[in-house]
Amino acid sequence: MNRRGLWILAYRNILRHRQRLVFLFAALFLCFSLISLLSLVSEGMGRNVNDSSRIHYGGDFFVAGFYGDNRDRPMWIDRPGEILDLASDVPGIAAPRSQLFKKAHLYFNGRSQLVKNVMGLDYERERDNLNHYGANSGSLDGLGEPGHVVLSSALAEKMGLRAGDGITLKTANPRGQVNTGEFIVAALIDDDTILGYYRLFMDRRDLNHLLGWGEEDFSSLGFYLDDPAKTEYWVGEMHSRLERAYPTAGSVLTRDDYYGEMEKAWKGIRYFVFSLGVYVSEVDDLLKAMDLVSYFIYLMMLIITFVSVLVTYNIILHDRSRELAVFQAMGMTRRQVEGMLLTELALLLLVSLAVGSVLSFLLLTALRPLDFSGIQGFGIFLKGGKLTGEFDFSRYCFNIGVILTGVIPSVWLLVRREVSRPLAGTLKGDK
Amino acid sequence: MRKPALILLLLAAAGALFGIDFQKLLADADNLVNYPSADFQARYTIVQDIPAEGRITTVASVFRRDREETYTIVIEEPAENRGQGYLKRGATLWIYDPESRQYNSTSSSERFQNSNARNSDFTRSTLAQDYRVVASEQVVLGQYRCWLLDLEGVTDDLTYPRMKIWIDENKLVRKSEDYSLSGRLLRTTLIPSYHNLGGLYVPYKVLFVEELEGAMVNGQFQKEKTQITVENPSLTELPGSVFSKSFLERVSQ
Repeated sequence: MNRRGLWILAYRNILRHRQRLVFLFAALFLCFSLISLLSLVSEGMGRNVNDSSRIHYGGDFFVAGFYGDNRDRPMWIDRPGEILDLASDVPGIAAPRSQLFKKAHLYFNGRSQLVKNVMGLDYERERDNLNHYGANSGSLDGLGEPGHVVLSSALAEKMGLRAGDGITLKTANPRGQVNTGEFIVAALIDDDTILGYYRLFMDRRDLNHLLGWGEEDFSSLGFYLDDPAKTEYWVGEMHSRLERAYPTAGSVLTRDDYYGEMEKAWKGIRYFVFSLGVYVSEVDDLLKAMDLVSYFIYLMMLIITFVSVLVTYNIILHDRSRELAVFQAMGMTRRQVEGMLLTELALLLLVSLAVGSVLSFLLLTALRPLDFSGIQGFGIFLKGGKLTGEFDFSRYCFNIGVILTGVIPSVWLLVRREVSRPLAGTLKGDK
Repeated sequence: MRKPALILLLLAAAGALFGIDFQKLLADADNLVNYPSADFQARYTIVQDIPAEGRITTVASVFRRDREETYTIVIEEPAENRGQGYLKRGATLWIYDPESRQYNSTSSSERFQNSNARNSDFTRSTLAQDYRVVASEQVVLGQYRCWLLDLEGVTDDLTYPRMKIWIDENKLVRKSEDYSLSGRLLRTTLIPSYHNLGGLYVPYKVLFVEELEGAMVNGQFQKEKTQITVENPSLTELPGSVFSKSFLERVSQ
């Protein structure tokens, strides 16, 4: 029997046994659709975390100066102009920021709140990225004017304040002197994620004034690259450039590298270059936990898929044992019968994977309108409180590969066992 | 109305005439509440009044040895904080947690037990060392005739770079205001009464008023306050072991 004949025969067999095969088909496409959906959502959540962190920290990679004489290692770049010049050809937007971590208190009407992140930025440089948030009330453009701040609507609700209210910000400058500033809330943004909840954006010069720094000073220089895929290259390139001219830490590619370099002793300012992935230590544990949950569900889905397929296929083979024996009695070799059955399975898999793929996108579309922002701590994985999907071709191929690698060999073993039975006994009806 | 104004004018004129050394006045004010040749101990009752929330009372035993720049504080009440302790040696300040039996370093500028007092409020007074007088005037503060001095930090590493201070005719500080670098009033301290221990003084009641924290109650803004009452003060010699970690660990058991 030629190959074309085998495909035709397999196709006819599928049609003839469609009632028997319907459960196998359902098990295959349902499980594949759920696995694909899980991958889409998981990639989407990863993308949302990356997008939120990118805007929160202000770039895809960073040059930061750390002061070695103080055990808190405060951030400050002592040569702002030279560092900007050194990075003038990096393709993208350079975003100098002055930052305070867990060192500022916000006061309004007698209430006080520790602000975890105070980000002093240049609104004109970062306007396009900040517009990702969209103001709940007020206007983000207010950040372009001195004396204005933007904070999350969740924090505003907690403090009982609205856009247009005046607040007092209290912090200590690097020498420990308490300083305060009076600011107007320009806008509130919907970001109650672990990054955004206790964060305050303000004009960099205002924060510099509060800290007693020079007007053009900054603590880190971030880069929103035109092509974020080139982050690794630019981290290496900037590190080489800095290393040649200024005191620079060793190569920092991972969080462990970062902590390792931080534990070393040095005098004055030392420059570090690292990617967003290294910076996002706050969400790293959350991402790991999400990955673990995702892998666990993925594994469970695969086990369910394989067990369902094997049990169902075993029953189908059992039902068709006489028919297969007749094929052999009519002159088909065992190999040809095996080939016919595996071709049937291949056809079935092809259709199941196609239907499963379409179903996964439909399920994602159905999930999109649902608001998950009420789940505490989950906001960072969402976009505007909604789940989003991200199609990753390599992960899609990997999922197909896992299904094929699991299903085909195990079904083939069942098929071999079935066609190896003594022909006479099977035709007689022996089980 | 005319008489007090005239007296103040005369006093101000006398200050200018006799060339009052305000830096010495600050040093004298320090010396009255510092005990370089004795050890100090007392029982402190700290009542924090948080508008719209209520009152929190903390009772602590305070031991101070100014000549070694050290103090030990043991918390006795409330029950959940009993046994917590503070040990200051020079510039280092540890807080001891009896549950974990761990020490953590903390800062002198941090709040004491989350009240409106700072850890630095328990150390010796260093006004003359830390500040210079940039303006002065004679004022009446309640029943006291005082010098109101505007102070500016001598170094740029003081928590409060600016202060206003009211010193009475007995050279006792009756009121002070702590300001941020930008000139925002952050905290007011009132000391209406002192214990007199043979020429040295110990504040009897101290009231801290937090200017930025409080709540609206019945349509009025009420500020968060903390009142400290110092009882049973003594300037008798203490064993050196009181100013040690082992002392904190022992008394916390």
